[in-house]
Amino acid sequence: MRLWRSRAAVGALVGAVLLLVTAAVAYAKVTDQYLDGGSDAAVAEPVASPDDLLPWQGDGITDESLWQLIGDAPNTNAAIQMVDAVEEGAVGSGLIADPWAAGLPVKMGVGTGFSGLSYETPSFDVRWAYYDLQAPQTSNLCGDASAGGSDCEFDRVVPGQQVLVGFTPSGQHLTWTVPEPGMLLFSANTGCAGQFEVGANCVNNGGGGRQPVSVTAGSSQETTLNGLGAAWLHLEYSTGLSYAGSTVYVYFIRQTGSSEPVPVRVTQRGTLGPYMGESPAAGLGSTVAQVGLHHIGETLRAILEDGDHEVARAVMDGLLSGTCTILCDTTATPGDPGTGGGTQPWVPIYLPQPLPGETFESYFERLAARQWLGAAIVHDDSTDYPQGSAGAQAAPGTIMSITTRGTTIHRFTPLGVPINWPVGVRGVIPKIARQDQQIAVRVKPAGSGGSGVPAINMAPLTGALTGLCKFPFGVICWVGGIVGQFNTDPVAPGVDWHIPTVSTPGHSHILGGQRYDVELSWLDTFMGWARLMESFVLWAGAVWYVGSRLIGIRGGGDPSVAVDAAMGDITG
Amino acid sequence: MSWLFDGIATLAVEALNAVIAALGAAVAAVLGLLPSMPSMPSLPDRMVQVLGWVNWFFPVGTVVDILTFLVGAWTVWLVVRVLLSWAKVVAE
Repeated sequence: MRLWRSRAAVGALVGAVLLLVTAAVAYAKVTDQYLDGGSDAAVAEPVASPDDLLPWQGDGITDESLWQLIGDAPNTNAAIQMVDAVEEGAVGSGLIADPWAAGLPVKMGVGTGFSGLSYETPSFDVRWAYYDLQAPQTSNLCGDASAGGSDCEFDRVVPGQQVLVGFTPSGQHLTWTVPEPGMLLFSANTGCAGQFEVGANCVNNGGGGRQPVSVTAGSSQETTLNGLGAAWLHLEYSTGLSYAGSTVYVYFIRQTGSSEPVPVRVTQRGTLGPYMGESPAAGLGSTVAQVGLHHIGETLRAILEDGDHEVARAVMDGLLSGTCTILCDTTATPGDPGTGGGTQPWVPIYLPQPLPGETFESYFERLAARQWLGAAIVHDDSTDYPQGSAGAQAAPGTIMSITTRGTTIHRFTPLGVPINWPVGVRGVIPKIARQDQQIAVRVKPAGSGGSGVPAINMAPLTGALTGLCKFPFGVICWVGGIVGQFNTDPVAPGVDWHIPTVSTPGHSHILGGQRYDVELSWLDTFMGWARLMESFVLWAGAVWYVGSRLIGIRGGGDPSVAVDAAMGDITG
Repeated sequence: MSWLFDGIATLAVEALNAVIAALGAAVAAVLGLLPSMPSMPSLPDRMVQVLGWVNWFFPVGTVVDILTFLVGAWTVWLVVRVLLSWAKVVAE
């Protein structure tokens, strides 16, 4: 007892423990960020060939030649001129392709293997492909027509499918994959963090805001469109909160006279969003004129901020010159889903299927990653499943049922037999709106199936706290978010500086005219090592700074004095 | 007798769980009444570009992690210090 009354001894003990914790956190942070596949490790990975992503078809373009073409493509201001050309009222000819009827897999890319449209303009061809998800359900996009309805739903895209949607002249590429029904993941092989988000469902708020469903800024590269993948994938949706009628457009641009479909820029835009009323009604087999005159100019205007040429040119110039440019403001104003109360209905968030062994906490994190803003009410599942059944053997924390919007999805029958998640059945897939406040989840209680004594279940409380990021507590979330924005992916500085020529009437060239093109990306590998070393030093310094004071080097053995002294130096 | 203890323990835990569930529902209801925070402003694209460059030279994320940890640890300590003060382990 005397020992515990010794302030010096207790202080030293507490300090030593905190020092160990600090060191452990530092080690974990450093190893997690730099040694185990963190962002720097990703930078060092070799660029994958598109050959690994999908087979290319048409026009004799091989995977190798296409990839080479991308690397050799010059930076031009082609897109700027293209905008002008389109707005001059270019009219094309030809028929909209029907990739499904052709028996082609759902893959988008450069080439005419799927007979994309070709616009002849004074300066450029605008080559684009048109995919209408209302196409006959004979393709692998739509699955089995007998599974429900005559319309396709995007959430029925075959999981695991991967589509290459964008290139940049310097070789970045963007893909989207469908890891599970109703969800899209975007991947860019490299690029500038936070450049712009990708919205699979560019829901607008009347001003061009696009609300992503499954992509969160600042999250992993798997869900954030980084880099110069100048693709904007837009899936329309009907006002019935269904993806039926969704349309995907991918535009390809090439210079007139070029025999190669140069993937200078891939710009993708749907036709609804802010221009819902002007969306093309043309179906398969419609002529270019029908569709083109309806929407192509409007589509480009929508991308380029309502036809603001200054913005348009700045955006496109930034993209083509290789600098980062924000294409879309992803901030949207909540609307009332499906009731017309908002400016636009929200696209639903389809509840993902709980993964095997996934706890409800992890599940809610996945929902939050899909921009869900609500909170969950968690209850214990009181169902008495028969001994030995799958339901009885479910691990504690397993989601047994989810109720939202009056619909309950059970995962087990009362006899404990697993029930398949209702994937691909139109109208049955559980979905929520982004701003839905609550869903109810029943989970397998901890300790169930054992001694019979249930465990203390904190889940209802922790589940409720998932919605804590609201005023006034949301200020903390705000601060964290803003600070987090400073933690971007490292990008090698690159400046292409043109010094203007200075001339006078008598002298055509006095000074200037030089060009300084500085590009430090060749040092990426070395800077990764440097940042690793810097990180170790920073953490070591932090550990020493706090730890030395905690164990009494400056605190006299009293941890309160030590901490106050340490923090006082920081806070002043 | 074990069944008796199990029964008592079960009742006690279920009662506690009911209280927790009630608290959770109450918290969720209160949080549901609170207004949502306005959307967080985005950094200008030029600034994002520059931040990428800065991060290329210096691990800003590490600094953020360290500061987050220090502030978190300090906050925890402010709470722990109250308890230790009651036990007269640390000075007021």
